Amino acid sequence: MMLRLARGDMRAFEEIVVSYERAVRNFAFRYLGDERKAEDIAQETFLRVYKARARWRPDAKFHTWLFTITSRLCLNAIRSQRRERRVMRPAAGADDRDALAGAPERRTPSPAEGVLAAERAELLRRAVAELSENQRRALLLHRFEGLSYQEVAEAMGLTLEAVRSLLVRARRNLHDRLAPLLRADEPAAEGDGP
Amino acid sequence: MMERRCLCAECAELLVPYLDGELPPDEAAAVAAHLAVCPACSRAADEHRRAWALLADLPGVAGAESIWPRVIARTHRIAVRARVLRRVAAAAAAFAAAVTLFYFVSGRDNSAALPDPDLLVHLPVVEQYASLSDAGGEGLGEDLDIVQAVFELAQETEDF
Repeated sequence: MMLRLARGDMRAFEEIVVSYERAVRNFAFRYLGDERKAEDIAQETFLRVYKARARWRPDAKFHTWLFTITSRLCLNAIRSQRRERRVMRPAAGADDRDALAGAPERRTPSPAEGVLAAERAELLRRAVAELSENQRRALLLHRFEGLSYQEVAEAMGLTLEAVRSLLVRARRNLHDRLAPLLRADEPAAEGDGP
Repeated sequence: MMERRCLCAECAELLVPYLDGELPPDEAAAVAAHLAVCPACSRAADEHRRAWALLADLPGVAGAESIWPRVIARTHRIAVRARVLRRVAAAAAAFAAAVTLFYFVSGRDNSAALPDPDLLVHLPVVEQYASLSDAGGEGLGEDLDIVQAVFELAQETEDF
């Protein structure tokens, strides 16, 4: 599709946007915790793809390249958000993790049966939001975009060892933060057994 | 590493890459063998797997409409801006070429303004020519024969 886009085929561009927009927006939303910013990031990501169409080399893996752009834009958004907060509240000094963790809940659980699912989703969201920026980025790229450690390293501009270390810590932290959910699931899992 | 001895602490370092399928086969086999005999590590592996599976419920963007119309609109704006910039650049280049050509044709280029060594040497003669020109009411430079004659006269005077 990128080769067709490079030749000026706008249908190919539409196919790219439609195929990847959900993944890109989800990544940005899970990283930033803000739907509107996630949409801005997604639009900007595809505009960068469009602008870079002539420089595209077929030897690069499109998926990895796309999420390299997305994750860098997310990182820039986090940084500018942090700068804005410093200007607005110089004494606060909180990092983005606090902001993400303290973000208002996105969905209001209306039916009674939805409350547990919403609580579960909120716990998950917080667990991911409280990871460090790099751990969160590596985790999302690996878990949701299916990038290998090597591809995550390329996308983040880190070494393979650094990514491995980030993911080990990310999963340990997640494990600790999701302990209530794991415990809650445990009796049911044991009860289901033979 | 793993094939020599497998302490639980060491296994903990390898457990995540093992679960992610990112270990080389020999190390993966060593971790698998360890998990088979170590209930603590085996339990930890199970919890990691379940925590990983829980992430499937991490909320994403819900039911959003496609961003394609907004992306294509911005793409068109970029294309229009690029076209305008190209036209402005072409117009500027044409204008610069026209100005250069004008100065070239009219002989009023910047190099003419630089002090000419010959002019400096013959400055008194040129001044005389200017006086002659003013007296005759002719435009400067219109009669190149006069210029030539004055310079020849000056040359002869110097030789003499």
